Amino acid sequence: MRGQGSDGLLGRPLAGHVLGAAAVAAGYYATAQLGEALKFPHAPVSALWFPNALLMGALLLAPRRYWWAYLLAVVPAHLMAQMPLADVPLARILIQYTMNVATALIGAYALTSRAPVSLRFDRVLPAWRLVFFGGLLAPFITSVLLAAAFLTTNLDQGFWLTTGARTLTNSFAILTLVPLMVHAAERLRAPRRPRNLAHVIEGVLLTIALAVAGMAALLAPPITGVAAAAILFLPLPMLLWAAARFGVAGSAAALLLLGALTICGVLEGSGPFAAQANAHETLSVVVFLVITAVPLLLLAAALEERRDLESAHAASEALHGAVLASIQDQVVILDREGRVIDANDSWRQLREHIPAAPFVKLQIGDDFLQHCRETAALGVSAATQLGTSIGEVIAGQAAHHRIEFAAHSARGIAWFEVTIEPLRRSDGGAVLVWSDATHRKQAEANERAQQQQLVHLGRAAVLGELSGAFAHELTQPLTSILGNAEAALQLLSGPDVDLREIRSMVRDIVADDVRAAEVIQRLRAMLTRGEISREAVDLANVIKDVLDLARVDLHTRHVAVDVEFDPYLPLVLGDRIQLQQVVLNLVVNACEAMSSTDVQRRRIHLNARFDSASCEVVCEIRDHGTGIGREDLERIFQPFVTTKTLGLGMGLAICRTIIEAHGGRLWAKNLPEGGASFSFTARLGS
Amino acid sequence: MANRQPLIAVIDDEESVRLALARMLRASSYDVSIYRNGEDFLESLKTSMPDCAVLDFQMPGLTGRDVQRALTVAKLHLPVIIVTAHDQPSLREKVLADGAVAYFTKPLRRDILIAAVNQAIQRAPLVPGTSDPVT
Repeated sequence: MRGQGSDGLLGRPLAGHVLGAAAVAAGYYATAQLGEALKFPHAPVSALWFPNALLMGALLLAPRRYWWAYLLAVVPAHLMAQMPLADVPLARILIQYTMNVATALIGAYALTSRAPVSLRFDRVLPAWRLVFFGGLLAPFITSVLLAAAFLTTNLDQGFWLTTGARTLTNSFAILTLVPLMVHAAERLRAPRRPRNLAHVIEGVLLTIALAVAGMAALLAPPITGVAAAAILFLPLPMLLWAAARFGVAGSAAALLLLGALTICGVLEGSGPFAAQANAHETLSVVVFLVITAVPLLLLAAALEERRDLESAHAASEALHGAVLASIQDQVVILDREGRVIDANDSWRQLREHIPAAPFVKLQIGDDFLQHCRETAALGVSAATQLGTSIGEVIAGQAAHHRIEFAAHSARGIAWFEVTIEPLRRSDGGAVLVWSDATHRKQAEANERAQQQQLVHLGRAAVLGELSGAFAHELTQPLTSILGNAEAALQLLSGPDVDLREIRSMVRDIVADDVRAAEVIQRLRAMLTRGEISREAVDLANVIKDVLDLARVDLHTRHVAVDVEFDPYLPLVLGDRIQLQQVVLNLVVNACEAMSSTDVQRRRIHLNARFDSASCEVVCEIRDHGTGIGREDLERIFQPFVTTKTLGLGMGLAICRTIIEAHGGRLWAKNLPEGGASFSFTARLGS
Repeated sequence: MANRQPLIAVIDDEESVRLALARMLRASSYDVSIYRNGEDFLESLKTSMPDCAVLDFQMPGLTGRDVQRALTVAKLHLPVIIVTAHDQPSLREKVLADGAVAYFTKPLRRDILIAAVNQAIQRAPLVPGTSDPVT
């Protein structure tokens, strides 16, 4: 707010304001002299009294904390202007000074009380405030007080004449000079682009035309009657011209010129006001000027505000268009009915690249939703989804939507991502932003493939750790097969062939072969590089399969296993092989963590339970090993971080990747009784 | 009185292997007694003494090496042939150093096993080594 610490329009230190106050004092003196010179013969006041308006304008432009400098500065100017007048008593001079200062103070205070930092009168509301507070209220109050003081001190008996004449002359001066001063200060503070030559020429022509019309109307030989009234309208077109083309400042300047011509006419005894013979009727000149000034200033302010609004609107539209044009993604704006109301150039160019895409043919005014319905009827599922999503966003049923779909393009399959946001305006609508997601989808596919490769390598690695156990599992049936076969051959080469014994041997050979095949089958299943599937999986079976795989390894390491399942463990959603990989990895880790544990305490507890709070299945593997260092509890899930002497440190990182890809969590903690616990969650399968 | 056939003890926790080894030996006219673990075998020595023991190294409870040490401690001088599904060079050296007649990795050929058993029965020292790998 001005006057509350800001430096006002003329922001400068005290020294600058002292100089400014001196200039205002000089101006006060000069305009007071001018006012005295232009005093009407029959009126107690001057027709053009600018000192008060000058002081009010200066106060408006200065911070309130420096107002005292201006008020003090005009004291000598006022005395110098009034003292030489022989018939003016000192009391009258003091009363006049007090009321002049009060006029400026009341107006400036009222106009700066709720004004923005940038005080401008080229808006309707500030112009009204200028008219009411500055142009009418401040001069009227002080004029009433001045006239009352004169009456009380017997200085003047014409109370209403004094009140009316002073109010009107100050009003006209304030309504013209103050806007000009504020406008000039504004131009000094923030210089605008220079007016173009045509505008300058227009201003010169307007001045000439107004001067000519004014002289014709106001300086012509005295006219009376209807002709006098009619001729007063002669300058009106030029005044309207000024209001329409040059704003409040131009109108104020035109009014000043009109006022000057009017006063000149009266003083020269010409024009329609020259016939006035007494003081009351002389005031009609000032009434004419004020009545002309008020609507003209308000009209100029209204036109300037509208012009600025239109300019701002045009700038906003241009910015809007520029922003839309700068966006590489395709932007389409729909109204609440789903019709296309705008689209950017990228959208228009899209049809050249992807002519087969069903939506790119739409143009401004087309019904997007209807097109979605028609396309959906042709079996394009993306159209159904798109139409439904747009409808929900427009209806406010969804905050936004994001969908993806593929379309054939000249370069093959192109992927699009469409985000649908509500159009934030009272009329509603939606904004569709289309972006080419082909590269992202390809990158995602590559990432998935790499991740799948990594997971597969991790699986091969953990199976590699069990290679000794698998060798043992295969060796046992092979040993049996070989033994039985060679024994049978030996028996067959003898004289007495015991066919029953040989049949028994062959039967065992078959059984051992099947057993060996099952081991190979389990390994093959784990090592198969298949697509990741999402199916309902019984986690209990997964754990049992893993324990079958690791049976020999557990046996070799002398590790006992406790298993505990919820009796009604729900199925989880996931990839069976990947979940097996996770459990196997955690079991092998648990075994390795217990390598230095007493054989009697080497025990793994596996449990799987349904957690009703999170509606997930939680699987936990606990060991009696050495536990995990506190600082490693989270680090161990990072790639290439390992606490083992052998191994790449990828196992747990891969496990976490797998579990998170399944929408679950994997974490570790140390157990109070010693050892560590690894737990993971899995979403339900239905 | 007819000559008694040599008695070979086969100790292996895997039933199918145990049975297959016994059949190989019986096909070569040996008497065979089979045991599922080392404890049962050591217990049986109170009543009968075999001529040779074919001992699986990796078993729950007493391992083949534990049984071998128990025999040494008891000074029974029973020839022992160690068989295992886990070939470990260091293990081979240890069991041979402890007096095992032979160390074989599974699967093993009948002629290799029979040759080892025969030599063990004759108390002839066997050149340290294993059977040829089965191909």
